[in-house]
Amino acid sequence: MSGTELMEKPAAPAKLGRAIPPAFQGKQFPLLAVIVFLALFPPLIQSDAYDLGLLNNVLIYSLLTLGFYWCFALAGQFTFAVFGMYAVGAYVSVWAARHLGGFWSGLVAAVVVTAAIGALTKLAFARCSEIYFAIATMALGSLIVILFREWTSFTGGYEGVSDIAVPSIFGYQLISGQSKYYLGLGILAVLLLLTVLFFRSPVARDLAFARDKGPVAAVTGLKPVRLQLMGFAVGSGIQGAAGSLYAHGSGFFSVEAFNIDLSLLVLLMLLLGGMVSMYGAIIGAVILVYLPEFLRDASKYAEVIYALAILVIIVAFPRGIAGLRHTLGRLVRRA
Amino acid sequence: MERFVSLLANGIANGSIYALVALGIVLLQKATGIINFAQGDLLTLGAFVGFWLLVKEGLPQPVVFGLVIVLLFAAGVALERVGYAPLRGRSPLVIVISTFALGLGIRALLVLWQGTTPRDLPAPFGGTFSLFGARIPQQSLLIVGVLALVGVAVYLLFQKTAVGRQVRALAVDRETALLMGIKVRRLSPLTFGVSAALAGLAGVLVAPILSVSPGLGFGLLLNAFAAVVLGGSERLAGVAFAAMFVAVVQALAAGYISPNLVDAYPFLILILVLAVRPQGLVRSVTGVRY
Repeated sequence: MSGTELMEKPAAPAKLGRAIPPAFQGKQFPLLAVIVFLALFPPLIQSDAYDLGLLNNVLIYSLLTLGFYWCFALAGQFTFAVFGMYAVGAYVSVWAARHLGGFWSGLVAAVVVTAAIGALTKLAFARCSEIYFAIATMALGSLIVILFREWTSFTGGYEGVSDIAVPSIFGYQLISGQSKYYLGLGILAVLLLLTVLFFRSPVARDLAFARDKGPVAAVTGLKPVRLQLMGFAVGSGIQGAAGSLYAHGSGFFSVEAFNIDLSLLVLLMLLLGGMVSMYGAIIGAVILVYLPEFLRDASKYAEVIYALAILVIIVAFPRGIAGLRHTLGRLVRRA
Repeated sequence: MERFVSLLANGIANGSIYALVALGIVLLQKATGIINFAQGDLLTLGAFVGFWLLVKEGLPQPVVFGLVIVLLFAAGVALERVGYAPLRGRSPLVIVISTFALGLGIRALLVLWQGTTPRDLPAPFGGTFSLFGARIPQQSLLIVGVLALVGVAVYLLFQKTAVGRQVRALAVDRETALLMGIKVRRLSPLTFGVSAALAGLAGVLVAPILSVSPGLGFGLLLNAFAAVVLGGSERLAGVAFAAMFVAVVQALAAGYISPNLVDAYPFLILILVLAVRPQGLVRSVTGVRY
């Protein structure tokens, strides 16, 4: 059972003669290129600091949600630990940038450490059912944040950390909002490209098999736990990258930035955007970063609206926006 | 000695609260196979409803207890209608997400209704008594007493009535129970109601000890999960003792090791148990008991 298994009906079998795996249908590389190209323009149009801040938020949340998409939709492991991984990514990155030299070593350290924690998590809780796994990740995320809160010599606790290394490329310091946006966009584009390449590899099909029919996959010689571990570790690593980007983009942050509401927001982003495609993560992030801007007056009701939205989506639109065409098609056919 | 007794008493009182929440979770899990992430927020709802009835409306204590149980039962049935009935037959994870959303909704509505300022609920018996020199609030006695009463009531309900037998049959073998004509559609609102009423009761009981804020129950939820996991969700008594264990360890560790990490100890227990023995420490009984 997994994210994409939330749906009701299996797709119609491919016609004989053109039985191409779905990963090779459609033009994925051109689509990705077009999306990244279009994403180059927003900071040129909206150039004041506030709008640039929002755009950077979109990128960070896209990364987080992409990481959650890997964990939940691809590896089939629901996780509440997104906020914990985000925190680990942020603190590890700041530390490594200070002691090992620069933003890039911080980013790499953040990804490696969070991926390792993700792998260990899956390894430690491999025998738990998916619901208990979710509970375990909730406890893990909370524990991580409590430890960071108390370990003030490393994190500064509520006082926060400042004096964070500014990202630089070939000696050019990325201080302005625009340059940070392009840095984030570059990282996101690379990760999306990796995801596309993953979809086109046989591992993607192995993972889907292991996720949906674990014991059967094991009989055919696959290693379900190892495959899911890989997916979960990649997802955690991406969440760590988001934390690193947040830390180096903000200049100052404290442990208050990390709480379980973040996991909830990311879940809502993925549900809203849709788990049927990796672009669902980005659609959801864009909508939920800009929605509060349009609904300033209703900000009091934000959480009620979020809760209702989750219920409505999982009851009526389990495929989210990216799968809207499919959902509407079903409704039309039924009518 | 004084310190030890006072920590121990504190732990046992907290443990009774965790036990009430955990019992609600386990009952629901037995009857419907799902885990309710809104259980903690139902506790908060109970505490706020208690506050409203007692302080704003000025009703006497016993009436408040009765009304909270009735109202929370209704809230539980409403939750079942909104968040579970439309999703019957979907993957368990979807229902987890749904109950999580319901919990968030309750929390958000409470913030709209009462704001975020913490409230204090007067205790039915305000005094303290001393035991080995340690001063223990009488409220703790009341909490333990209520847990014992609830334990007996739940035991009678599930061992001695037809409804209870049906729920146990569902827990043992869901499909066979359905084939035998057990009406799960009628049982699931009932169990949702009972488990919500337990959470509400825990809320009214805990409110005089801790101050009531909208995040109260959600913070206790993971502690109750620790008890559920440790107790193994097979025997209700096992869960109750696991809850006591978690809370006593928490209180002693906070007293003797570090009070700053007080909220971390139950999480540690939860993680250790899930990693080492996911089936729970209390050995699960494989045979069927009727």
